[in-house]
Amino acid sequence: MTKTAILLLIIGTIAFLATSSQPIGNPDAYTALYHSKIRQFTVQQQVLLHTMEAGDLSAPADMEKISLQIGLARDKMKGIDFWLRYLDPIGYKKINGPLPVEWETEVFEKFEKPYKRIGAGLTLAALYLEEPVCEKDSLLQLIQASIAATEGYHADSTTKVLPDFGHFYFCNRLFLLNLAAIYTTGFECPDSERIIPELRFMMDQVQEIYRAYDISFPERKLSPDYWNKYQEALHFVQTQPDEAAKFDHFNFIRLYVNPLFKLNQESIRRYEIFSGSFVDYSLNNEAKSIFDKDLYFGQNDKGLFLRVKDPKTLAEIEAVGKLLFYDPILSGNNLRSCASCHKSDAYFTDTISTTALQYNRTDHLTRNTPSLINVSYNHLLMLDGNHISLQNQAKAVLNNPLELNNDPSTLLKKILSCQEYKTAFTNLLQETPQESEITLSHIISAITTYYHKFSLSYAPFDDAMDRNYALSESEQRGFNLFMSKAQCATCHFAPQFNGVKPPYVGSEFEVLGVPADKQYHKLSADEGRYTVNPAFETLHAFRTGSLRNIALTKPYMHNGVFTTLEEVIDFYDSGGGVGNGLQLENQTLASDSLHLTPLEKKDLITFLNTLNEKIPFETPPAKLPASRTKSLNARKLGGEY
Amino acid sequence: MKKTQAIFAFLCLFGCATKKPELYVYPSGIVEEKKAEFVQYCEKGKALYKIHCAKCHTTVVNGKEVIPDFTPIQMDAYNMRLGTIKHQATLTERNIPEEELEIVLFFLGHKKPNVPVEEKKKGS
Repeated sequence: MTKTAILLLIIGTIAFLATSSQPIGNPDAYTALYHSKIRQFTVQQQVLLHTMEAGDLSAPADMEKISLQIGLARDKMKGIDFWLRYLDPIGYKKINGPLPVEWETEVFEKFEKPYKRIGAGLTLAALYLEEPVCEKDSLLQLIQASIAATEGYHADSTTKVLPDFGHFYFCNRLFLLNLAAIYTTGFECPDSERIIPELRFMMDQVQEIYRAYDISFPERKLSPDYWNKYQEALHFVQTQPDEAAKFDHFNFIRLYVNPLFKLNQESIRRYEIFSGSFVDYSLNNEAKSIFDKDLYFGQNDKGLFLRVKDPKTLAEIEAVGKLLFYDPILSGNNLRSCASCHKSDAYFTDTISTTALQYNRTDHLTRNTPSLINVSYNHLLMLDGNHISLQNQAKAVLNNPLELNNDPSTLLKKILSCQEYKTAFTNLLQETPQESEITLSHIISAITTYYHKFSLSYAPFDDAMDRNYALSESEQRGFNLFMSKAQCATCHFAPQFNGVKPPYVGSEFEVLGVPADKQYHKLSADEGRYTVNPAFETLHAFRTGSLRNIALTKPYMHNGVFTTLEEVIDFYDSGGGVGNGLQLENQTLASDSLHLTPLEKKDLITFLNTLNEKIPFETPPAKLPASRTKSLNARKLGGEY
Repeated sequence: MKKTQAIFAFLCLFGCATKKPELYVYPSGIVEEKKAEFVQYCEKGKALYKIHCAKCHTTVVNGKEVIPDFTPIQMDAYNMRLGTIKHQATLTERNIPEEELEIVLFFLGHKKPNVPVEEKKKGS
């Protein structure tokens, strides 16, 4: 009797466990789809490889066949881009390789010596095919490397995350960010006619991935709201014209991509999932919109004070930072301050001088003063990417003999000779228990904390994306051009419209061929990134700047050569330096004309004006702190030059 | 007799107080002049460890706070901002910037290993 009871109990328990722990549905559907789609991609690439091997690169008919096969392989790739890009970003560079100038600037590489990572894959093959001299071996190699990298996606080290639902929401986040920033712009898609068809195909294939996911993870399904919105997005894309220039980029992002992103972020927060992947290194789970200033983390703007949360203490730090910003005590001769070049009534740049005066008061610096607004949203700072933190950047300016020219051993003493500074920083010392005394880092941290607060404002464009602000027809047309025909968005990525693209871990550089003068007599002699990391590709390369507040922060380009936005657009429209007859072998900007009409140029500028942020600027402080050293008290607020 | 014992005990205590035990393992070949700077850097790491890690990692043994000896594999994982699921939420660039993480790991890498309780008993 007892035996039967025990037996029944055991059977009952097993049955209970079996039903309760096993979710309804097929747990393998998702993984099976993954492997099957990767296999299909490999097969398609092998067909491409055979076509290349058998083809004659001098015969137009064979070239046509190869192009067709590249297109078919691209479709397969796009169908699984959702996984490929996220699960193995390093391997992905062999499949959809970066252009040579993009190889060394990711945030993980900034801490080590840059090294060259050779890309491969379909985009490079398509571009290579267009080159005047195309060697078959090199072409085959690009595809062979891609096939080998594709195989890597079957490896345990990559697939081990698939049985856990968490990675799916992170893959999806990257997918949505790319929908807003690159998929519709022609970035990585040399043939502009393919952009929208590829987009449709990709979104359709992702729907298949979503379905398989819902079957395998019924308890963590995509929400009905998400499904509805996605169906609407799909319908929108299917009913839009084929031509990228006629596609309504503005409403695609505003009405579909950004709301989908919001829903996906909600799921990430609801399920309390955290990513262990370095793809998500800088992304913020708390961001509610793609156009949230807190979407990704570029720089630690508060330096040593990063843990200060108390608003009163923060206000104290900002106040002392403001005084320091205007105080010429920060220069060797006590005649220059940060505000000498970064003028607070001109978006913290200098809109009058082409390039600022040097310390010696006669010569000029070679580069235009960059605005301090939104600098924190970069991983590499300065136009040549010389610095990796705001702290280092500020230190360099303080010590640079051409700029503030300080003697590092006396600077701190000079500052602390002012009782007001001394009291403020002595009080703040308790916020930094790791530091036993006041250091130059405290001083710099206060300055960066101060000026970063002006980077937290939004522009009408953000309001249009996130709130109920309407953009005019012309502004919308301008944005749509920006994303398509004018090719601006292939380098200036949403949401900051700078060179930081999803997943926002690197800063990109471009070689544009900026002239030394408006008449294009010669190329600007500035070597740019080359001075930091010399290589053929980095000569004259500059970090892509943000277009926020651009209409209010003239002059333009690294040397301030252009004074109006019209001139800048004409420069791009005519193919940069090479397009204007300058000799440059590594220009990354297409050298042919964009064929923009006068109305289109006008629309572009109208759109750029919607990126002007509504920043509550402040008036300078009333006076500077007095110093124990009498001679220092003659210094002038803001400096003399 | 009692007096000598008391003096002996006093001398012992005094000796301990003046000769502070070394808390860190100096890198081989470090020059004498750099030792103070090295210790200062480690102390900064310790202060940051207290801010960032101690809440979960520091254990109390016999009433004393003990910082555990992390394995090289653990430290590598922290360096890459991995570790457990919990670290994925906390060990972010937002919470602990690269420069600070580096100093904490330096401290942990040069801190003197703990003496197991049994050995301590044997030794005393």
